[in-house]
Amino acid sequence: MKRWGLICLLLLALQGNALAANAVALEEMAISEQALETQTGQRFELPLSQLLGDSRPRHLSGVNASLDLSLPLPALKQTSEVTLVLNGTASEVLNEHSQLLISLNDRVIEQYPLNVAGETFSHQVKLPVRLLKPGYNSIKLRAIQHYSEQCEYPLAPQLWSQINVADSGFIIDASQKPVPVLLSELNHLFDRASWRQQESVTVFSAERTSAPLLASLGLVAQGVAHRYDFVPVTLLHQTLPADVATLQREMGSSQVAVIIGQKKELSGLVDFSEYPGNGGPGILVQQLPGDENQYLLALFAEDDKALKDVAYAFAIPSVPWPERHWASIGKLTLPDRAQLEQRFSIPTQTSGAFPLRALGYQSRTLTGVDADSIKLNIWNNTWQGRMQVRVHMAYASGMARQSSLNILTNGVLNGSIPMSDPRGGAYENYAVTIPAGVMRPGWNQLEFQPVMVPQSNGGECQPFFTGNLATTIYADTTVQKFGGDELHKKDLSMLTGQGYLFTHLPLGKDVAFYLGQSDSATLSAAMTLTAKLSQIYKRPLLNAYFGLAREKLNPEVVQHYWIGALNELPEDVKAAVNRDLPDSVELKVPLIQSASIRVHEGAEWLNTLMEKTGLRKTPPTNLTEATIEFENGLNDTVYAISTQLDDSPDHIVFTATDADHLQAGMNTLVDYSHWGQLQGLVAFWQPDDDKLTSIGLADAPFSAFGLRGGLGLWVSQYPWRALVLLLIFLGGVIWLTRRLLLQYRRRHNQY
Amino acid sequence: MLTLISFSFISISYQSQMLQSAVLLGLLVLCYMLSKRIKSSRQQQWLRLGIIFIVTFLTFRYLNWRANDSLPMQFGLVSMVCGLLLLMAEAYGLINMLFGFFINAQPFHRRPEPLPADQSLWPDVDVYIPTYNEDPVIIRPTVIAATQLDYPSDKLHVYILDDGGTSQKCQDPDPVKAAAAKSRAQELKALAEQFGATYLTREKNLHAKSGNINSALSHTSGDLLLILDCDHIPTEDFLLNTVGLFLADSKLFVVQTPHNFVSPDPLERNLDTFSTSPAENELFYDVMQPGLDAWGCSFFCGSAAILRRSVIDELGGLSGRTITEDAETTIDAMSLGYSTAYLNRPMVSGLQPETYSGFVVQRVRWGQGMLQIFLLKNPWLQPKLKFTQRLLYTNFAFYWGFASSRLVLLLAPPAFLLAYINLCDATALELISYAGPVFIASMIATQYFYGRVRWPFMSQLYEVIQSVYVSKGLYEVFRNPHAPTFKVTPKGERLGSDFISALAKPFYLLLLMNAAAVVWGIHRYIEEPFGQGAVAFVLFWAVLDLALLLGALGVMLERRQLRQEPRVPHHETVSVSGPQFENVAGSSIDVSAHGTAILIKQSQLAATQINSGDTVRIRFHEAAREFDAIIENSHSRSDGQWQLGLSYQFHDTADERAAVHLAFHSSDALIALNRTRHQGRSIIAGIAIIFSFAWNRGLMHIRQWLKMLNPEKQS
Repeated sequence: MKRWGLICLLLLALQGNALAANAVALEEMAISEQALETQTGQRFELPLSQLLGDSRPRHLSGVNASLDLSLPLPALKQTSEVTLVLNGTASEVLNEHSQLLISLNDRVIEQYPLNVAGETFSHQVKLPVRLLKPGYNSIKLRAIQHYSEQCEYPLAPQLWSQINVADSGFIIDASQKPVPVLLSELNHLFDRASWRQQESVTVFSAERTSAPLLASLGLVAQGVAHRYDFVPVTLLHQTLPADVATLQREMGSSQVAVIIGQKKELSGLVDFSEYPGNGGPGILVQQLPGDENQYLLALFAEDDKALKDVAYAFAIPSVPWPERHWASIGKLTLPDRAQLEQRFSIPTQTSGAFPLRALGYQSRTLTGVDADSIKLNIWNNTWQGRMQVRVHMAYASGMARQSSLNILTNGVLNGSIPMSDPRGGAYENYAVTIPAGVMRPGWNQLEFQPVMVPQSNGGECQPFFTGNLATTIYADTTVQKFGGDELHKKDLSMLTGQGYLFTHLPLGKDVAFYLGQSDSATLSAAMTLTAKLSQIYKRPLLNAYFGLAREKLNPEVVQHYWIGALNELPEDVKAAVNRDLPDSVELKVPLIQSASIRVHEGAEWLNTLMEKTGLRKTPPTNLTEATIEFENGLNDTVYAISTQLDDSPDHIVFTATDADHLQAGMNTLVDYSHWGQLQGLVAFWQPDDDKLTSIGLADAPFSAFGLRGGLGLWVSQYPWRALVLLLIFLGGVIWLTRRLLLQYRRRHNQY
Repeated sequence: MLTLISFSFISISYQSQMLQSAVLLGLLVLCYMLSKRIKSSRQQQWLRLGIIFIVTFLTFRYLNWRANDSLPMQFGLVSMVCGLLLLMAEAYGLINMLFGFFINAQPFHRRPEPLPADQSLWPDVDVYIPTYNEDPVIIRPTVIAATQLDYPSDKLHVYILDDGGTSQKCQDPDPVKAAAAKSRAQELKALAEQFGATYLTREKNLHAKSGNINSALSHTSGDLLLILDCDHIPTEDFLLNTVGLFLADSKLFVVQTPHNFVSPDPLERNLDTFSTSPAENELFYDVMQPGLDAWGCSFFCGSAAILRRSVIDELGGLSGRTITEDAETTIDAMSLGYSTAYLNRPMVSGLQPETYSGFVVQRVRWGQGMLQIFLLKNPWLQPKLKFTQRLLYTNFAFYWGFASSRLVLLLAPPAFLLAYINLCDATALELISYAGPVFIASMIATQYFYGRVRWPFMSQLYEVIQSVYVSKGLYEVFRNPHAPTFKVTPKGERLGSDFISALAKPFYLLLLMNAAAVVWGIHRYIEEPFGQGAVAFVLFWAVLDLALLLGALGVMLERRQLRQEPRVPHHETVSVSGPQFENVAGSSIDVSAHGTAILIKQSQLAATQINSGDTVRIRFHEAAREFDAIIENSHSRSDGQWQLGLSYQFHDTADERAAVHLAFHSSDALIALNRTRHQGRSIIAGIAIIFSFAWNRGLMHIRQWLKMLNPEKQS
């Protein structure tokens, strides 16, 4: 027995050493996004943090826990080898029955023991390439964890393991793979299953600045953006070259180029030989001569007006293009405006209510004991106003009576919805009121926190089942804001899609992108911004204006985006931004927001009624700002500024000293990390710099002065004085009434 | 006032709320106690307003708390809807109470205006006695009394308006009905002829009572019209007390007097409270009408009222769009700028409906009619009305909402205790702080204003028995305001034996639900220590509802009744001579138009001397009247006296007139009679009475019902 024990110890020690050696080797291998040339093609390194959105370690708790990953595989890539590098740590009490299963598209491909005696573990898992498919592949890391062979508590805190997301990722060897040159495969050219942090597309057009052509460029940007879905994309505008070689050179590393123009302008670049002779406007895709991995998408027509129709068709991502490399577009009819407005109405203007769907939220089912909370950021343009959430939800049967869905605002619990019926249930309009005072001006976090408790905790060998711990929160759950005072400047964070974007008219009719000038750099910046916003809006903005700022402003437009070098912007916009750029910049730094709160002495329904009918208005918020002026050295900086023009608060200006800086800055801004940092009233950054600086209301502390229920507090504090006062009032009312009654009697001869 | 309302809206701590409530309740009790001692009307006015504003303040505080702090808005749709319904029911009751305060802020006790000495200046008066299908025996004393009114005979014209003897009725396709109508018409014609009245009828029965009166207008020409229901026997001083008011005020349209009843309503009869409790209608005629009169809003109630003929002509007759032609005609007259007056002096002796179903027919008609007026002749849209008149006519319709409100209050405890529907999001401390004071205050205020004419909790009992059917009736009006038709209140019904009213069924369900709620409530009180306060509160409420429902069932157990004529108490020394005795002294107990009840000491008369059917001669000493009479019945009383029931034997018209005169000539006698019944009860006694009704008559009803379910056992 002793000898067997020694052998076991020796084996364990050797295994431990081997694991440790692996870990060291992998730590040395930096996971990066950079693509490296290999013998067979390119090597791509895809860190888990890119797939999961952040680099927080992921905790796998309990007897059965899992982490789902989704590995993209672009259609234009042929993978030869995919390795999953996993680094992590496991609880030292896990026994030999504990294991980590790795499955790819529901097939278990590897399993590892988790009883690593508290050491870190490191695995390199070769994914079978034959199981991979283009698009998204599901990879599940499932931890089965035990600390005892006897009865164990399935939710015991010692049952855990951790995946170190920052040190883990995929290493992919892949080569280019040509795809059939068919319009039906168009989405493969703008593939959202991308390994890059940012995609790039070059758009070529003539140097003309006709309004339809500019509008077409805006639509092309949207078409590209919608196909890439959420993947950031920069659009680079170039003037149509004379020949293909120049075009190829100007495309740079872009795999796809879009060229748009009149048919005659494109004749030297596009092979129209198979396009029908009488074909009018159309769209055509082809490989670039000499490089089967680069593609050219051409949008063409006889004139610019017809060209815009083609651009419309391209901007609609769900058009079923034929299995040909060309398509001639006979007619495109967009719904007329009256019909659209009938079908597209958001009641926010009148009721202040909107569904969570308007925040981009989609119905979700939360499962398991440790189900994540749903956290939504809601922009509160008011202070003191209260909010009501009317929850539409369903919960599964088989949960313990203690289960509930808590509603929190900014971390403060405001209501708890019982999920106490063991048979399960649903609520259509469970109202939870967020009282005035909990909401703060600016961003507020609304949290739906599920607390789902299994009917037994599994201890002492009780049956334990967590499979049916589930709650669905539907996207038509409604948020309604009541009363309060509107803050008159919109925050840049609205652009990040965290809040409701408040577009009311159909298909972006109330949105406009104004360009300072029509040079390629400004066009590139504007198209890149348009692409980003159409991804954020998650709906087409076909009716949005995209053109030069010199055009007459449409009174229906409520969201104005100005893109241009400072000197090219209209004077009033420039004045609203900062007249002295770039020699100096004057920044207003909010110090404090304050408001004197009107005291509501109970009778909330009465006060609410008065506020709703406009009989009572809340006083405005006072913003105290310091002003600082920086001089010199600001030439490289790009600005995004939320400002007010002609009493309209929704003007956002993107500007820099020149168009090239603006273009470079916009390319930087639209990536994941920069765009998410947008907030406040002013943001500025330098191209290729990681940091973005914002100044806004959210940074200024908010102080509201006033004592809610002040008189009530006084009465409560001095009940006897209040009583005397009350009796005096009562006596006065009685005296007065008696006099009036006596007068009445005299007048009516009632003696 | 606004300051007071604002003060009541302030949210304060429970301790402060309890302190305020305790002090205000203390003041309220003080005002109430002082009101019993103080006679000065000036000082009474201070106390009255003190009570009104203290209770109003507490009510506002309660409603504010209910609306803002205790609505169950977060317990699902059912709870929210039920909670709002309960709040509406509670708010209804409290607002109704505030209307009562407004009406009673300064009641006007009007006095008669003397008539000029020169009788030639007195106006001609037509007395209308409309009848439809009532027994001529009921009509007879009314006609006789009307012809005996103290008024110059050349200026007094009495008419029987017979809608039962119209050509339409006499030519009914059913020969039996036609014969009965003809026979009844002949009888009434003979009655009219015998006592100097005029018999009028018409071709068709159009527009019910108002049509009958309007038809008669073309045959008469008096300056004033006295309208008397056929069972309303007037006292002889009726016209002397009322006509002077018309001479004093040329814009006066109507003088209404109390409907004074000398028979019990079903509640009084079946619960045996007639001799001790004030009559149900006294709350309206003795308290509310003087209050309405002060605001210029007393109104014609269909009988015992005198109206100016010229105004009726100006209106084109009595109004008939609704089934309460009386109140409708009043609002029309007010719209022409005429005024109304109320003289609080009982001057008629009438009959109440005998049965619960008759009572329901009457109340549903009133409720439907008032709602019809509100919907069809909205007081806010009528010209020339004063604000108070518009407001109070609104209240007349609003008042009938008590039925639905009461139903909600009866259903609330079962909803909470049985169905677990949270109706009020409150703790026991909150209930004690807010609900407790307002409950006590409203009881004290009710006692102050109405205690003399209504025992505690009797209003609730009346509301319960009307709740189901009045709600249904009002719903019909809401659906179609023109739908209701005039239904005559049945009077003078004879009830041969005890029986359960057919209308009792919905109350069994309510009783069952409340009984189950009490049982389950006790279980919940024991099993749910976390919610004991709220459960105990609702349990108390459920027990009270249970007692009220049992009391209501007691009302619906109809008792046997044979006598049907109005009979008034009459205490006078009499002497009786019979075949076997001479001039035996005794005393009368009551008299009617056809007989009397007397007491004779057993020491003066042996049992063998009293034989039913014997004819005796009775002499009323003070009235100096003698009648031949037949002994109808006799029985020995525990106080050693014989009680004899005598039926007069009239030899001529003069005898019959004398009997009516003896019984009904004096309004002073009616006032004295009512005073004997104005004995209030304390709140505790009121609760005890309700529980005693529940225990005795309610359980008796259930036993009777169980017997009906099991006829074998009954046999």
